[in-house]
Amino acid sequence: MTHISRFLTDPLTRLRCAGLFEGTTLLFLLLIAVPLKHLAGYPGIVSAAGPVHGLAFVLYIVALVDNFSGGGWSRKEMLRTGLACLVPFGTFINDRYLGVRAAAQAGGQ
Amino acid sequence: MSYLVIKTLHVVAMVVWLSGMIFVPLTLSRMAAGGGVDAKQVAHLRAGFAMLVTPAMLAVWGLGLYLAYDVGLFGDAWLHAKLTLVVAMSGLHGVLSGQLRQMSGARLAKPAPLVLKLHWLVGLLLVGIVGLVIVKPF
Repeated sequence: MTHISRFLTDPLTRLRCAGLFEGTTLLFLLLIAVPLKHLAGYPGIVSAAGPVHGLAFVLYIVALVDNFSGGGWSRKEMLRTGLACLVPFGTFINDRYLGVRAAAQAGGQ
Repeated sequence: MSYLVIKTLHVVAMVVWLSGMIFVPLTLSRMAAGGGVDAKQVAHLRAGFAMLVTPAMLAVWGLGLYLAYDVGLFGDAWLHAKLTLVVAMSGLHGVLSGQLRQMSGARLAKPAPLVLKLHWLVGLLLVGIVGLVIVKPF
């Protein structure tokens, strides 16, 4: 219950969750759905997983702009976090930086 | 659930989302014109935004993507143009959410210039989105 209320109230936690969701759906598309379509002839999985990844991408973008608009981000951090969703494993790698930022925020409170 | 029921819910969610996206910036611009924003009032606005407007946006996306998948519209160019505009609208939603958070925490005395004009941008995007859905020009 604490995790849920933290997710709903903390924008950085929302961004991290959205990033992990986006990264997972992107990897599923690239590593499972697309090979199944082209190598095994199952196009239905890409058709179903595509919209789910689209939704995950939008959630990430909204969480991203929400955080940036709240202030306190350097240009480098904004660029890195913004580009992370375009690269496979990007959001997972960037999550480490966001984790450090979250810990710093928690320490500052 | 039938196609028409989901489409109805999608349209209702869209009306709720965009009502909030027009009402909140308009209220903030009136507050700013009247001498400055009050953090307590903004906190009320923010609570309503988080409770109603954000879930409505998520419902619009979820139901809309399901409809497009169910009917098989992902090959249509007009839908991709519409999705681009809805992503831009979602970005404006994020901007508004961040600004509300800052103002309700008294970390920002007045909204950014973009937020004061945001309802106009929302209106323009709405014209584009509805136009693309109705006319389907390409």
